[in-house]
Amino acid sequence: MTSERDVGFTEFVTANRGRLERAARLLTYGNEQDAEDLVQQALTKLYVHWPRVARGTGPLTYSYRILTTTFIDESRRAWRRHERTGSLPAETGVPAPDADTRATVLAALAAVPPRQRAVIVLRYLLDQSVEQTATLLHCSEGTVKSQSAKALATLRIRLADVHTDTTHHGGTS
Amino acid sequence: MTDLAELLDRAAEPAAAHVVPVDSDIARGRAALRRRRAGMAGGVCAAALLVSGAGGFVITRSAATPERVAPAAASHPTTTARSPHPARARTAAPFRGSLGARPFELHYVPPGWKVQGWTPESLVLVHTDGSPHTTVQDFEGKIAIESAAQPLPQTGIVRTLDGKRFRVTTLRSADGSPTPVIGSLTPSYGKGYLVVQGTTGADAAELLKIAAGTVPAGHDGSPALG
Repeated sequence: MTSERDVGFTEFVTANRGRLERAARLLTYGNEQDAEDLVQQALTKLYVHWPRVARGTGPLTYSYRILTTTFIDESRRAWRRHERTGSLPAETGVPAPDADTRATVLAALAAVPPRQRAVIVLRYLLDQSVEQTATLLHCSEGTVKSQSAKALATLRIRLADVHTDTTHHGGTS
Repeated sequence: MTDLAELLDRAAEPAAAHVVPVDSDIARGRAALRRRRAGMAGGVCAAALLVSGAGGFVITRSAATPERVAPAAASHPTTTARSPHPARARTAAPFRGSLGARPFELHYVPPGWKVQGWTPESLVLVHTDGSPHTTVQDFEGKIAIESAAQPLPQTGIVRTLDGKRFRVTTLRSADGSPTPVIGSLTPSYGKGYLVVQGTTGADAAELLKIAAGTVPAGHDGSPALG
């Protein structure tokens, strides 16, 4: 039997799973299994809380929050063996474009601490403002700016060969 | 110059194209919802279902009142957490739970702390005043008791308390600040090793008492739980 929850959730996942996967891929600096686990955890929590979320902040904002907070929480327990609960999605063998640049960027992200990485992903990939990012990460706007500046400094060094412009402020302000 | 947002956008592309059916997300959501509703129903039966399903830390009492303490067995000695012998200090009545399939009891909660709640993987303590109002999945500013498959990294020192040996070390939290962590040296807790993770500035000695006070049921004179 299909419930109202299932209908709304299906519509959301169909429209936004790719967006969450992309964010998770950057958070886990390209580890497809970890990224998929992260998305699964976020979507599971979203499903459980769907009625309240749908009435409140909205599922997209909630999914951003749960994706980043789950990631940060998991990173705090990094010494633990990560248990795999889901199966890997089937791959079609389509090569990614611009593989060298992609690998360089992901390696640069790996050098950025988890919370700073979450700020970068929210600000520059998901186009969240400083205020929105602070709300999502339960921190002050000053902390977001500080974390962002530190992350950009690291990325600027790591991506020097890619001639990256990390001087702009990205996202909405 | 290449824009950072553009670079991130390109790096976020999948290494290989794939499609995950929505049905699998719905199935996981429904399963989690069933577990949550079972937990909300409270009582030993609901908790037993969670234990068998998740293999984590589950308190054998109602999830609706996580701050309340389950009564101890009548034969169990009771003292307060402010005992002059803190290593042996006990809560008025211990929490009873399971790490994996193995039941155990939590006998020590530091003064000024209380149980916030639990997840299938951990029991979470929060400070009685000023703790952040976040979910039990968020450990920031809290103490988390967990069962881990792996022991802690071999750093720090080994301490013995109540005849049990623990590793006392420091790990980095998400913001890079040092966080005291205690881990058992023997895999006798559920999935394996007991881990008590503190928050920045937490007293490692108190965490050690929590670890020593986390006793597999049937040990230390406490009754085994079914």
